[in-house]
Order: sequence, then structure tokens, then C-alpha cells
Amino acid sequence: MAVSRKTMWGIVAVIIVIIIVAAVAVIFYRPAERKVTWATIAGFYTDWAETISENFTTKTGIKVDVIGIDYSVMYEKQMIELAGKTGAYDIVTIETMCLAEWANAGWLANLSTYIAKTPEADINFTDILEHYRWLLRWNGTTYGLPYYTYDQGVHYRADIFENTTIKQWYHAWATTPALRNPTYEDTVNWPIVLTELRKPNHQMNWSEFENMARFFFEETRDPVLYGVGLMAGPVESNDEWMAIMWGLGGDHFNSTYAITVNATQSVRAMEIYMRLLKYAPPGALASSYDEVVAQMRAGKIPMTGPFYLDQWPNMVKTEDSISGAKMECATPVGGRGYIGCFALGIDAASKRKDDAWEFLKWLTGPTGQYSFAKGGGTTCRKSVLLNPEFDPAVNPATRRYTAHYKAVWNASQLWLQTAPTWQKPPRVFKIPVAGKMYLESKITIGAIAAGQLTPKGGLDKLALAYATILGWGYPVPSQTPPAGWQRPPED
Amino acid sequence: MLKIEVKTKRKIVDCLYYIGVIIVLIAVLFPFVWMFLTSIKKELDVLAIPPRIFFEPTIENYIFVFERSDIIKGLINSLIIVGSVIALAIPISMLAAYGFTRFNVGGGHLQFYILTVRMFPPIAAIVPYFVIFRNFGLLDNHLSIILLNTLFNMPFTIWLLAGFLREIPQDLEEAAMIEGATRFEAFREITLPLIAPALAVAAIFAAIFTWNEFLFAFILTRSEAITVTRVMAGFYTERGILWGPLSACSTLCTVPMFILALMIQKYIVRGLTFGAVR
Amino acid sequence: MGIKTEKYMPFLLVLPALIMVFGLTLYPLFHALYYSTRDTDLTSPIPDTFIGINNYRKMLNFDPTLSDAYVRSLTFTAGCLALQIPLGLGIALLLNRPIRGHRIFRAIFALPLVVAPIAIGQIWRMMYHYEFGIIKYLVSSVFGTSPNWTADPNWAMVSIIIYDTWQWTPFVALILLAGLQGLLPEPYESATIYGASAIQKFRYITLPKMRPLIGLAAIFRMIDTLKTWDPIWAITWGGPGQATETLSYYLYRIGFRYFWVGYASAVSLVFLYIVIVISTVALKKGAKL
Repeated sequence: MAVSRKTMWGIVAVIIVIIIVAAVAVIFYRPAERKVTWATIAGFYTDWAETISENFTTKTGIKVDVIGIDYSVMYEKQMIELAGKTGAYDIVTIETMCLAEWANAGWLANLSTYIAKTPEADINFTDILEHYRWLLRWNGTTYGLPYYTYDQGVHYRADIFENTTIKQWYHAWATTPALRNPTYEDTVNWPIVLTELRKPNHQMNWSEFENMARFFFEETRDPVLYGVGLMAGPVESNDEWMAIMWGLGGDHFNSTYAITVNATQSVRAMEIYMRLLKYAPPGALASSYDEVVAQMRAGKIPMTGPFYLDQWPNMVKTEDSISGAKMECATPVGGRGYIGCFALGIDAASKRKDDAWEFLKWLTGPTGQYSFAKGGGTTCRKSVLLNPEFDPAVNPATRRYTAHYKAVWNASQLWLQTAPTWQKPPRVFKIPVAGKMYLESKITIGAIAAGQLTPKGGLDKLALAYATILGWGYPVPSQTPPAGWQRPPED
Repeated sequence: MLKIEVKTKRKIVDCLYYIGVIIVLIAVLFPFVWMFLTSIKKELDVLAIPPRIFFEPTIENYIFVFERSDIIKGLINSLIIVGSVIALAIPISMLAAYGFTRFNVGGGHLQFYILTVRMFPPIAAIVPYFVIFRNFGLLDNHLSIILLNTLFNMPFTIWLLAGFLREIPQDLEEAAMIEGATRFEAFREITLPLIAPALAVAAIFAAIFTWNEFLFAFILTRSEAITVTRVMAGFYTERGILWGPLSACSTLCTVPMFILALMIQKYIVRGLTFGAVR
Repeated sequence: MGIKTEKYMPFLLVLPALIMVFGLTLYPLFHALYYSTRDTDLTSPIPDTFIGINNYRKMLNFDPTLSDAYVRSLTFTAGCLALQIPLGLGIALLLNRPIRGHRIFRAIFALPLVVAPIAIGQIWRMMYHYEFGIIKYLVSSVFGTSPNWTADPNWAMVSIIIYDTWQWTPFVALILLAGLQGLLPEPYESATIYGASAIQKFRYITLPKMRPLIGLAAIFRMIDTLKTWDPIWAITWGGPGQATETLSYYLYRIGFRYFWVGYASAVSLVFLYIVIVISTVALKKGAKL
């Protein structure tokens, strides 16, 4: 089949025209205005932040281009950007465990200089909760300011816990001798556990929590109700394990920087987690936080594991989908949950640093955080957290947005009061390669949860991985720092 | 009597074959049908258990895609990239194919080297490319994607065009040259019209592979040079994956490929096996 | 044009292609070679240092994750070949009859081959969902129960193999169909005269003649499955745990999450080398068949 020359040249001409038109469109597509791009986690709070940032634009004339990225890919997308020095995102959202890494790599702009130039009233640094302030500095310089936190607690169905019939069943079930867990040295407070179901709060320990989950799973005569909701997927399972580990007194590193991620408490934490998994709905292994919210809203779980308190506005919607449901949240079991926040930093390669600083200062400042709270964003500032306007006891209208503020505040106070000095913050937050270790822990904990590794075996592997990442010991990795290893700056 | 038995037996066998074919067709088409159905479902219908086949259709997903995602930019960028890749790869490949078939340059070794490019796992190549393009400031730039796609399509287009060229006997050109035409004129007047359909086929294959390419676009583009494949991968939010808009976006970006595929379906096997199979 | 141009012209014709290919392959290869001898980490502010062959020793000595990834890649390839070749052959035999609508079949079969893995892969992720996924629903309707597919570490690899089979069996089928249609009818006629059954005809006539083509299809599929990355990102992200983390995905993780450019370059080079060697050997053997 031969084609005439005219047709052929016609095709060539069409292709060339397409290219020219498209190129022209792209060139003239660029608007020339003052704007900054902000990469952040996708979610209702970001939609709200986008709305209130219009106030900022009116005030300063700087447009904010909000790019919401799902949490599961947010870290890697931003890192590729930063490593590529493209300056595509002027403002980046830093998960606190990664701040040391990015600061150390020189990817973040020095905010201390900007802070020095700004009047204190605009920033009010001490208003930011103390445990965040620990995490935002590295080697004496501030690299981020927090705008949003996901500190953990527990969400639960208060109506189920207060139900008299269920209380009776629990009493009957808990008095059987088979229930005693001889494996743990924890003194399980049997009298209290036997007489009533208590709301999860910092006085409860993990053995009690486990029993409750098991009760709900095995004994409530409701085929739909499981024991507990867990985010055992590849993204958040390590946060849950970490909370249990800290609640039991363990940590990644001890006070002398030896790796303790496979020490007794850490392994116990993992074993507890594996048992809790048995009581979770199927698909826990693929669940992220929004799946757990969906499970709660579908009436499948009575309580969550160590869960992000900031999801309260989503969780409270259970009261809409299930009649008679009453939601509450409390401080984490064992007194410790994953702590951290999303801090805003400026890309060192950004070409619009000054404008970026204006927005950063505004959103993390008292006014910005106040507006943010009005839409249910979980603030990092004491003045906003304790503001009576956001307390449901004083202002009932705010219940569906900010009822979790009390739990956030209490959880922060718990850390301050109960943690030893060397865990303020936990050592792991100050090590630059913690970002990599955090990622590695996601994989390993996910693999243990999926049954591919045993708790002890998996955590041993993780400890080895940490040592390899840190470069300690060659050829065999060592779990204690070598003689010449320089400790990260304590500041 | 024997004849009737054989006839019914054959009819049954025929029937079974038809059923088998239909089963295969359903299996092949099902995901596409599901993709389209999901794109016109409301969110509640998408997440319904058990899955719904009957529902009230809606176009809200398509509206969402156009309003809330970068699809327009992605489409424009992908068009630019595809057009540029074709404009770059086809002429170069045509020349190379001509050189290889008519003159056997390099005695097969050069051809083989080009063939090995097809065996490159892209992921193995991406690490050095990322660092190199970063150092040249070419990240999030159309040029890097165009170059890479051209490279990875070239073994394919060269091979395809070489295959077609071999079918056109050299005598025709030589006859023209004896009558005083230069090689170039002989090529232009005689070979080119004959090879034109092959050029179109090669161009369309290159278009399909470039349009569908994901890894390079994912790593090397951001917001300026974002391609449709990258837009398709951007529907993960905290409310869960937005399946409805995702399906709508996938449908939008796949339909052009279907059209192209219909145009070259005669050559698919030949193309994908580098002419080893007609 | 003088004689001189005539002499160099063939080379000039090929030159642009060569510049393109050599420029874009050799430079990165040397680049990777260079970095593979260093401990480059893009997240570290310290300048990288020369560490000789330590990256390679690390690969061989204590990187169990890497060997696991190799095993998973092999599992994936073996699983895909085991499914796609027989299935493709079966479908080809099925279609090798003078049924009407022949062109339509070929057109329909082309469709899975031209859709972007990222586009249709995410649809499969949805179909595999453990709650509202249609696959789970259909399977449990027929068998009463269904695995959780991508949420179950034991079934995640199977899920991806099934996806790959769906997308590429048409390819195998089309190749083999073309081959079947090229077979001469005479041997079959003689066999019928001698009273051979259909199965015997298949085993002694069809199969031996089709062997080179089956081999070719297998080689192409093997090369391609070793390279697979897009569907894994689209369907499981390497999870749950590491159940579907083949070598490609592992490389992605160390290169673009840990930014260990040095180590990743070493792994890339070895991966590249292995794939090219296997492919070349297979192709040469295939050409001999």
C-alpha cells in the first residue's frame, strides 16, 4: 500500500504544527505573579489551610499554590525534589523524624536568621509546645516551624464502653482464670479491670488494653465488631509499634546511643502488636489511617490502637453513620504515643525564600494557627490549644472540630513529666540518618506484621539495618557506636 | 448415520470453541469495562459492597479531573513530548535503518548494540540519569524526557523500519540511479512512498510507548513537565484513593491509545517482536 | 556528490542514531561505574569518598534484602512464564479456526498491550481491594471464599502475576497464532489418513514445529518481566511488607528513598549486566533453534 507524497508531507506538517502550538501554549502558560508553592500532606486540614491562606494573599499579595500529596508518597516526592535541587517546592512539609536528615544535607534554608529579623510577637516562639521545639532545631539552628501535629492518643466509642450489658459480659468474661496472662510482669490491675470497663487513658497499661481488644473480638455477640483498629499497612505500622515500645519504656537508642531497637521492651511491643493484629478487621495489613477511620464509621471497631488525634474531625462523623454512637478520645495507653508534627521549612534551592518566609511565618504564627484551628486543624500552639473558644465544655459548637485538643495537651504534658532527660526528645530524632532508619523500620515492621519475619528475628534485622545505615562496624555491623563516632548535636 | 453423528459432534465442538473464545474475550475486556463503569459511578457506588453493576451514572468524576487535577497541563505536555519524540526518532531511525540494510554498516555489531538498549531495565538506568540531569539543571524539563524516550524507542523503530526496508528490493533504487538519479532522489521518489506506511506505524508505536511511559516521568518531572501518566498517579489523598476520578483519568488517557491501536493492530505482533514474527 | 561522500555516506546515515544511542548510554554507564566505587549519598553533606569495591562486597556479603529481591524477581518471572506460555498457546489454538471476526479478535487482543500499566494497574489495585474489590466478590461467589489478594502477603505476588498474565498473554497468543497460521496443512492431512488423534497431532506435529516460536515468546517475556516496575508501583508499592519487592522495586527504594547513589549504581550495573547476558544468551540460543 503506497501512500501519496502529499499525504506523507501532510502528516509531517500536522506533527510540526502540533509541536509548535503546544510549545507556544506552554511558554505563554506561565503566569507572572508573586507566588509560592507549598507541598504538603493531602487532607481536609490542607483544604482548610488552602481556604484560610486566601486571607494571607489578601494581606500580602502573595499567592499560595498548595500541592497536596498523599502521605504515603509525600516523603519520597519531596526528597526527590530536594535532592534534585529544583526549587520546585518553595515550602516543604517536614515530618519531624526527617528534619535532622534534611537539615544535615543542607536542603533546608536557615530559619534562625529570618526569625532574628522578625518581631517576637509575630512568632511567639515559646507559645509553640515544648516537645515540638525540641524537634525543630538542629545543630543550633532552627529549620522548621510547626503548623500541624499528629500526636497520638486513642479514639473510642464511648457508648459501647458505657453500655451496661457489655459491662456485664466483660465482668463475666474477665473473672475466668484462663484470662490471666502469665507472660507479663506488669501488674494487671485486676480489681479495676474486673469491675468496669475504663476509658483508655494514661493509667491503663498495654496488657489491659490487649485484654479489652480480645474481649471485644471474642466475646461480644456481634459478628461485625472486631477488637481494635490498626494501621498495619506498609506506611504507618511502625508508628503504632513505636508508640507501644515507648509506652513500655523502650526506645530506638538508649542514653549512650546504643541501638536498643531489638531490646526486651521493643520485642515485647512487637509481640503485643502481633496479638492485637489478631483482633483487628481483615485487611489491617493494607490499612492506613483513613481505612481505620472508615472501619470506625462502619461500626466495625470499638477503639483504635495508638492513633493520630488529629483525625478527630473525621472520627467524630461516626456519630452520623451509626445511631446512638458517641465518640471520645483520650491520651495514649501507656502514656506514650508517637510524637511529632509537620513542620514547614523552606527549600534551600528556592528562588522565593523571602515570600516563602512570609507565608510560613503567617501559617505557623498565632493568627494563622487560630484560623487553622477554626476548621479543625490540630494546632501546635499552647495558646490555641487551651483557648476556651475551642473547648467543647465551654463552646459546644466546636466539639466536632476541636474536642481532641485536651487529649493533645495532656499527652504533651505526659511526655514532659514522665520522660527521662535523655528522651526529651528521643535520641533518634537528632540523628541525621534517622530519616532512612524511619523508612527502614516501615519496611521491617510491615514485614513482621505480615508474618514474613518473627518479632525477635525482624527486630534483630532492623537493628542490623540501623547499624549499617549508621556505618557502625565493618564488616560486621555493631550495635554500639564505635570509638570515634561523633554524637549528633544535642541541640 | 455416521455422517449425522460426525456433524453433531462437530457442532458441539464448534459450540465449545465459541464459548471458549467468548470467555477469553470477556477476560480481556473486563478490566476496561470496569474502568469505564467506575469512572461514571458516584463515590458511594464505587465503594459499595457487593460491587454494583446497576447504578445511576454521573459525570462528576470527569469534572473533578478537569477542575482539580493537572490533566490539561499533562495532556499538553504529553502531546509535546510525543510529537518531539516522533519528530526526532523517526528521521534518525529512518536514516540508520537505511544505512544498516543497504550498506550493512558495522556488520551487525552496531545493530546488536542498539538492540541491547531494549534490554536495559529502565530502573537500572534511572539512577545515573537522575544525577546527570540534576547536574545539568534539566530536571522537570521536557528535554530530558524527550531524549530518554527517544533513546528507548530507537532500537524498536530502527528494527521495524529495517524490517520493512528489507522487503523493498534494492533493484528499484538501483534502476533509478542508473538512469541518473542520485541516491537521495531515488530514495525520495521510489522508496519513501513505499515505506511511508511503515513510518506511520513506527511513529504510532513510538507514540504509544512514550505516552504510556511512567518511570522516567515520575522521577524526572514535577510540575512544569508533568505528563499524563504522572497525573494518573496523583489521585491518592487522605480520604483514601479517589477511585472515581482515577478511573476517569485513566479512561481519558487510554482512549487515544485505543484509537491508535486500532490503526496498527495489523502490525502489533511484528512490531513487538522486532520483526521476528510477521 | 563525489566519490568521497559516497564512501562515507553509509556511516553518516547511521551517525545520528549512533550519537544518540552512545551518548545516552555510554555516558551514564561510565557515570554509574564511577559512582559505584564511591559511597555517595545524596542526603549527606559530606563529600563522597572513594571506597573501591566495597559496594560490590556489600552486595555479596551482607545484604540479605538484595538476595531476597533477586529471588522474588525470579519467582515473578517463572510464575509469569509458567502461566503465559501455556495459556497463550491454548488461546492461539482456540483462535486458529476459520471463525468469522478474526480481525476483531486481533484488535481486541491489542488493547491490553497498548494501555499504560499505570493506568490499568491502578484499576487492578481497585479490583483487588479486600473490601469492595470486584475480584474478591466474584471469586467468593464461585468458590465460597477468596484470599485477600494484595492485602495478603502470600497472595500479593500471585496478584501481580495474574495482572501481568492478563496484559501479556494476548501478546504470546498473537505470536503463536501467527505461527500456527503459517503451518502447512500437508502433515496434518497425512496424519489424519494414518488415523492419528487430535492430541497426537498436536504432540508430534504442532509442538515441534512451534518450538522456535514458543521459545521466542518465552525469551521476550523473560526479558520484559525482569524489567517490570510500573505495575508493582501501581498495584502494591512492593508490599505488603516486602512481598512483591522485586529487584527493580528494591533498586527504586535504595536509589530514590535512601538516595544511596553509590550503592544503587553498583546494584544497577550488576542488574544491567545480568539482564543483558541472560538476554543475549537466550537470543543466540533462540536463533539457533
